[in-house]
This record gives sequence, C-alpha cells and structure tokens, in this order.
Amino acid sequence: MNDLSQIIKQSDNKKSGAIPGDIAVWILIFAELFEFGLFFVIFIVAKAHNPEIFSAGPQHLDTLSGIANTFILITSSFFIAKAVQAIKLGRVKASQKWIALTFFAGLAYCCVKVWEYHMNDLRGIALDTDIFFTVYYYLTFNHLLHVMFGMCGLLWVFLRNHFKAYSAERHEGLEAAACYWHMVDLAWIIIFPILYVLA
Amino acid sequence: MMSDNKRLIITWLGLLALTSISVFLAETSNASAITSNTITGIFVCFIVALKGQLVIDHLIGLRFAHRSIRRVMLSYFYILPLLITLGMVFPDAVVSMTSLGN
Repeated sequence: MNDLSQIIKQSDNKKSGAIPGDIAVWILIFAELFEFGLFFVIFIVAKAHNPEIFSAGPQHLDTLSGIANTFILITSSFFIAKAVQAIKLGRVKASQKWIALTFFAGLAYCCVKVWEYHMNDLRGIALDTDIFFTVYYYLTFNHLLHVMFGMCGLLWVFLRNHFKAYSAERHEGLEAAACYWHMVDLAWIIIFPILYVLA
Repeated sequence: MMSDNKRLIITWLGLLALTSISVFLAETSNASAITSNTITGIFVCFIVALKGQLVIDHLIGLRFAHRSIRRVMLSYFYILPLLITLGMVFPDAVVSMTSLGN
C-alpha cells in the first residue's frame, strides 16, 4: 500500500464521525466512569470532613510508584493508539507488536502496584488505618481490577489479530478494547494527583 | 498537516511532560502555606483536565469521531477537576452540604 492511499485512508477515518469500537463498549465505559466518578465525589466529601488526615495521607505513600505507574499507563495508551493506527493501515504484524507492548505495560503496572501494596504493608498501612487509606485502597484496588480486566481484553484481541480477524476494513473489536484501555488510563489521570500529589 | 504518527508521539510526550510538571509543582509548593497549596491544587486540576483532553482527542481519536461521545467525555474531564478544585477551595461548604443535622 503506498503512502498516498494510507494518508487518504487516515483522512477518511478522521472525517467519518463514526463511533470508535462500537456503542456497547461506550456504554460500558460510561458506566465505569460513572462508578469512578462516585468514588471521586466520596473522596472530595471525605477530604472536606477530614482535612488533616487527607493532608497527611499522601506523605505516607510512595510517590515514585505513583509516578512510575502514571508513566507506564500513559505509555501503554500510546502503544494501543499505535496498534489501532497500524491496523487501520492494514499492518497486522505491527499492530500485533503494539498490542503485545500494551499488555506488557499493563503487567508492569500490576507489578508496581503489588510492590507498592507490599511496601505499604511493611510500613503498617492497611485498609483500616484511617479514612484516607480506606479511600486509597478502594480506589486503587478497584482501578487495578479494571487494569486486569483490560489486559484480558488485550489478550483476546491479540489472539484474534494473530488469527487475522482484523484488517484495515474490519477492526471494531480491536478499537473497542483500545477504547476500554484508554478509559483505564483516563481514570488513573484523576486518581494519581488526588491520592499522591495533592497533600 | 501533521501526520498521525507525529501527532501521537507529541501527545505522548506532552502527557509525560504534564505529569512531571504537576509532580514538580506539588513537591515544590510550601506544604505549610494553605494559599500556596490551594493554588498548586488548582494548577494540578487544570493539568488533569488538559491531560484528559489530550487522551480523548488524540489517543482515543474522538476529535474527529462521534461528537456526542466526545462531548460527554470532555464534560467528565472538565467537571470532575472543577469539583475537586471547589472541594479544596471551599471545604466548609462541602461539609455543610454533606452533614446531617446541625
């Protein structure tokens, strides 16, 4: 496929106004974001009622783990966007490579999170330490579950792509998994500053 | 016109830079000064909204896709940081709104 036809194809995709993936995944994404939204409202209310505890809380957390996971998730979002871009151009192998990289980035996120929980445990921080850590564990563990669910989706589209289920013309499944993965990244974009940065 | 590849790379680097800026702002703000903390919080919330818009428009690619979905997604990333900011600036109002009885 020459460069000109690739550019025309990209331009057509941009102008289409179509739904990336399918409507079902967007209903799921809105439901998930609503759930996270409720957690954020709970955070705001709990923080207003317990300003000292919420001011001290982030100082006990490992900010470096939070930064590392933010960089990992942003990079994984970039990887999956590259996978979608590649499949739109009919580059199945390249798309496969980017999906695999996204999956491994998700795995790296899980490893950092487990290590962070382990370090918290060594410092004597638990779910019932105080209201800040209760909210922290609810938010971050819930997010971790979403990351793992997203990784299952990535594994599924990796296998489907391996068996040539996706092409430049038909790739709704891959786009749907990518949109879900971006949602996981978007939720973390809010979680990271409120828990680790804003003391 | 910028190629898709270049746009994705610039967005990715922009997101990493914005994350670094928000951490730097928070780490260098005077923890004992309430005003300094609030101003930093407002900046950090602004950066959150900006990062959300970058992901929505350029990584998901909603800028040129379905308008209604884009609007809902962008609203989420404008309203939530605004609520977080208001919660930081007016904590007493939040307490009075969410307390039972007097």
